[in-house]
Amino acid sequence: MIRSQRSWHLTIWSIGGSLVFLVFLWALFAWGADPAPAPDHLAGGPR
Amino acid sequence: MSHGFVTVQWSRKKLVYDLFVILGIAAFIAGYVALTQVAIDPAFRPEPAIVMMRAFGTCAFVMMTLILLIGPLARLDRRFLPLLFNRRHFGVIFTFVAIWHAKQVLDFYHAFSPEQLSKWTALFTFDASFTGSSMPFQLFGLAALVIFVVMAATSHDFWQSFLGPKVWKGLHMMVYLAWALTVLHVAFGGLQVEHHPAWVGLMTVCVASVVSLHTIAAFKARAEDSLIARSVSIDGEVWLDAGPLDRFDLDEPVSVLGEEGESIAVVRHAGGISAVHGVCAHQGGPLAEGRVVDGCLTCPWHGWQYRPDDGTSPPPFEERLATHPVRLDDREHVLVRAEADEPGTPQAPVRSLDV
Repeated sequence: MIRSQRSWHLTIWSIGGSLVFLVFLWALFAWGADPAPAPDHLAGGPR
Repeated sequence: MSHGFVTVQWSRKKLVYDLFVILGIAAFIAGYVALTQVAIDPAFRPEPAIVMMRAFGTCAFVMMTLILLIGPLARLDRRFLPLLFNRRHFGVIFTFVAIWHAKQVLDFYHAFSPEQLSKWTALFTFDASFTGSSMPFQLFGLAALVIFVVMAATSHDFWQSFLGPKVWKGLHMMVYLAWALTVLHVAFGGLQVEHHPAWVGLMTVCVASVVSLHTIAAFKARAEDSLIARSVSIDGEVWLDAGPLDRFDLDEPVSVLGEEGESIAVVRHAGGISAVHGVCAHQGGPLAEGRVVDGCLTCPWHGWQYRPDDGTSPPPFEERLATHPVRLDDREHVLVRAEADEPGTPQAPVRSLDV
């Protein structure tokens, strides 16, 4: 790898990676979605 | 390497590796199902189809995490280098696990809508909205799966040759986008309905480890970049000071950065100290992070090999790397000429009493 690629890696992971992790934590603690992501009419599999 | 293509270069080692991975998957699925039976009260336990769906999804996420950790681990500690070999096999098997998870979702949640929608129509219409509490987490997963399938389908060397190393590598760097999409898929999907601390903890550790290890490895690389070799002028030529002779351990190459930031792999081997272009001809792997195996400098990514003294691959292979003349100065510092010679040019390895 040449230097520019190494800088790119550092930028992507320190900013982008941290951002993804923060979104993950936000979804974990603060999103609070309706706990039924699959509507009933579609969750009609073989019961 | 380049000596013709066959569909898949199987070997006993690869078969054993694949068998080991498949047995690992079976053990994971069995363990997940067993733990679900033990840890979750029957009143709250999902039905078996959902348990299997989550088992395969969790298995795929853990496999993806392991695949992504191999690179930074190998960069931080050479003892992890062997894990880089066969990583593509791991990736292809992981893709099959992810496809199976997706098939289970389609067949369970999207196959029985009262409107008689097709599975795909149901998938694209049920949560394709960012409003309210809805988040199209399944579409995040689908987008990631498309990338993974493209990567698996083009994982063979034929495609690397057909597309060219830059396009191929660019295509496969999309794994990071697919990883981010998969994290969103988990965060707004499974994480919203599965609250068992063991599962939540596993997912959190997976995401945190990928981010932290890649960041640490990138910081390490930047720190190494600050050690750009000091250059000296000898007879009108620029030579790079690669450091004292005792810096070089036998068969463990060192990266020396030229003035343009290009990597030169300087290696002490049985014949002396040699320097070759530090980027593998196969997929641009970092040769200075590999080691000498059977007298050849061996790329850590896929095992392509080059003789240190002339940069050529051993027969029947025909790859050639540019080589750099090497010399010692009065202080027994290794000097590498910044300007490379033509690929395959033999160089006399520099020798000292203890080399």
